[in-house]
Amino acid sequence: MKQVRTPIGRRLGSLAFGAAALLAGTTCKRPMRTEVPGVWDDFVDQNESSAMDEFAPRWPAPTVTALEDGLLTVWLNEPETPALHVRIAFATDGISAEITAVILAMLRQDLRDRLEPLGITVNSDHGPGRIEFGVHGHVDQLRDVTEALTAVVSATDSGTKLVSARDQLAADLDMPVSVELAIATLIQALVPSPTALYVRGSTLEDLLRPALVSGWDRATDPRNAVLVIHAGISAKQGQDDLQRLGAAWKGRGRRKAGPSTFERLREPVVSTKTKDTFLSGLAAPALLTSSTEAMGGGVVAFGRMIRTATATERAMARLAQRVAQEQFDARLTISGDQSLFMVIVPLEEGHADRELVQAVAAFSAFIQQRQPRLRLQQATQLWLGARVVEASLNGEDWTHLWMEAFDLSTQEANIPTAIAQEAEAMLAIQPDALQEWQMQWLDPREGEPGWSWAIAGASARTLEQVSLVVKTAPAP
Amino acid sequence: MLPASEASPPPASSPTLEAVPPKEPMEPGAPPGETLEPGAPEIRTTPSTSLDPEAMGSKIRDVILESGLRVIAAEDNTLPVAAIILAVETGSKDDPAALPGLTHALAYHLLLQGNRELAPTRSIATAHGGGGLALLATGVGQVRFESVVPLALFEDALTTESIRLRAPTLSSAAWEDTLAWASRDPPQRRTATGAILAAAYEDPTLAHEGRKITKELLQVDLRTLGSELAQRFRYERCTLVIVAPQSPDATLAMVVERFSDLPPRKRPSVPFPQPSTRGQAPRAVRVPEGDGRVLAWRIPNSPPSLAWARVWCRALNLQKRAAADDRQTKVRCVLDEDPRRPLILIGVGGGDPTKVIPDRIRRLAEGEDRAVLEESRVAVQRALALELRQPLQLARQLATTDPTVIGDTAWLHERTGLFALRDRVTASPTEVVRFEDALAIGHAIRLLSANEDPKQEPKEDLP
Repeated sequence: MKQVRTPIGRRLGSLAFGAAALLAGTTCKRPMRTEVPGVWDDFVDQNESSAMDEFAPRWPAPTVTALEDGLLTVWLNEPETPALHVRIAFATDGISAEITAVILAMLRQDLRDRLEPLGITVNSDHGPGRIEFGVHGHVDQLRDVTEALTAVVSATDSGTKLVSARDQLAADLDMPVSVELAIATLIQALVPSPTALYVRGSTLEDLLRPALVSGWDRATDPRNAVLVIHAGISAKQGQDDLQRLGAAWKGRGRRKAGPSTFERLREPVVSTKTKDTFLSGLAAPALLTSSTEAMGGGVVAFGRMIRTATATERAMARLAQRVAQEQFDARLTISGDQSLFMVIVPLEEGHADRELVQAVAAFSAFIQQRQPRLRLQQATQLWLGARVVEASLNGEDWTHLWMEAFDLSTQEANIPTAIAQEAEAMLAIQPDALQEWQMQWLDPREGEPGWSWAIAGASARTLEQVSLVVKTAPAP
Repeated sequence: MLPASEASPPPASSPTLEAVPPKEPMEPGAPPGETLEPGAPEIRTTPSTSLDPEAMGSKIRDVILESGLRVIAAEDNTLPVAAIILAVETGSKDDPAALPGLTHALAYHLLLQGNRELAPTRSIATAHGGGGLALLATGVGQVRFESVVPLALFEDALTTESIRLRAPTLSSAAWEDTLAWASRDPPQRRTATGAILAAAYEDPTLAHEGRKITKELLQVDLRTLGSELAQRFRYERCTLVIVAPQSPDATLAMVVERFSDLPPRKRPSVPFPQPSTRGQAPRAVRVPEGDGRVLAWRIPNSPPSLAWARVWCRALNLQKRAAADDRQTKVRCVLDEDPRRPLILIGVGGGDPTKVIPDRIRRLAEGEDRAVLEESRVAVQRALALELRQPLQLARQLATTDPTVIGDTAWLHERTGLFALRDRVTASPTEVVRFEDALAIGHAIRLLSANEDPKQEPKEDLP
């Protein structure tokens, strides 16, 4: 069976991880509009923080509101800014990559068709277990944005549009890139999921309208979504428009709305199948081989889940990845107290067996090294500085940073300070502490077990070569 | 997330200048080039017709130091990021005839080669190493050294600009290296070609390609290089613009501290060439690209004019044909927003541009299509307001402020053109009328080919 992935699917595959969480339970009638009492970190302390001054935005205390339909809104008011940034995040847990890709394409196109003639831009984004849409315009255009959003999510002809988006997506499919395929296969091994993490052309074509509509209803349920707004007007000034949105946008059935961003968007990570595995000796798991045709040559992805329960652990993981990526293609996705770390190794035909063994050994040796303090400082400043500079060049959108802060948080109250906490923790890391942490979590041959690996895009000859040095097994 | 520094390896690229140049009407009795003692009281304040904070924006500082350096400081607190631009009032128009491309190459030299206090490429490495961005922009009348840095690097970036022009490194090896980097830049992409620009401004020095690297440049002796750098890249010819998350006063104090050792200099005046009117018909000029269908106007180098140029251009492009119009008639307007030599170009397909354009302008200004003009005003006002929210864009806009208008404490929106767009297009649209005058047909040039008869009416459609 031919499997293909679109750019959308590739990105989903590379970032989304976590298991499906079934949406269930009874619901209760919510009041028309409820101000959710926020318990935010002390903003006075934030303002005294040097990391906050230099590497994180000075956010005001947000106004959090649950609308009539269950939609959770987070309002960040920056007085006098003429800008309006609206970000809607939908949870995708339990929805297949194919259906998610179709929904993403349909929503993006529909929103663009309605808003771009007004000079409002729309972009799509994603994070662990969610898709997002960022809408950027002038603060006077809040009503235009909420009306467009209302029209899109409460449309009665969503089925027709979804089928059209599916057909367009199928027409645009190209051959998957082996790097992305290897990553998707690795994630599937580390965090087993009942749904595929990349889009298969054949199954996309098989998606019928009822399945698409069912996925749509689930993905766009306001009780499972979060709306983040950054505007020059206050939440009170914008409440009429939001109430109209809440009155028109309804989820199907009776179910309880999660009271916070975390209940809605943070996927619980199930236990992995790889808890006892290293990438050497008898404890090595089988190298999962993807049979899907892919372009880009043979690529191995090896990696693991890491516990990142504290700001210091998350900072350690990020700094280790930033230093490692100077020599290796090392990648990290943080989702609160669980993070995914992986290393990508391209293999050349003819030397694949040697390259694979050498790559794991070289990474292991690198991880055991103590890095000079200056190198850590440079990597830290580059990472932290690039985040705010990139945000500035991309339109100074706080909502994007808010979702990034959400990924760096383990509880709702930490979100406003999460970026500053990461900065403070990274700046405080000492070389010895990082070395110790790396040896525990990132050494694929020693330290904590829990590693897995996958290969994709490899020729028969390359597979034959690597099978001489490691066990192989077909990817599920 | 890919850090900007990884995406753009040093040395910085050299994009076309693209900011909209702002300008204020000059206050009577205040000659350009007046200097200000650092920290002294204001010389004068730009006159304001309203003190509505929403209309005027925040206060900025705009002063000339004793050294002749103009400093414009504005505040932006959205993110801990600072944008710093050192804009030098020189450009390819100042290239010696025998050395086209010299200004561009000299700008690269100052970007890359450093001096006694600044190691080669250190300025770029500092910005990029901290997650920031360093850029160079060269145009016909201005060179800009631009950086966007996290707040942690703000002081370093400011220090870099305070030493960038001082006694630059001069050696044959360094110059060869400079030219090697400068030669990698693609030719400047402009809406108007050099020939059109030169014709519109009646200035042949604007005609040549400003990024060309010739063998003559390789042979320039170090003495000439030193002389050209010393004459043209001087702080009294510069405007230092800073947009940072702190008060303009605090920023100004940091600047004064770093530039106070420069000797006193008089700031030279940089006059903007005024358009010449030659009766009621456009002046016919022959350019390689000409075909008789396009008229071009100089745009006064001021924020209201440039903001309104955007409005008019947008409105002309949206305007529908009148009932009396030929069905084949099409109008297309584009702006060339060079910060020192901007142009507006309007092309007409299927009609005589000298008749169609004045008629379209009259309909927009005088009634039947005024709604289109108002819609465009709102759209441009919003777009400009959003554009200027970003520190780099705001700094670029401020860097192209009219060099002759200075006020110690000024209002941001006056300096950027937003203030000019504040009022609806109504029965007495003063700004509209002002710009309509700027588009008087007698101010235009008509672009003809070498053999074209200026009286012949073109019939073809626009491409």
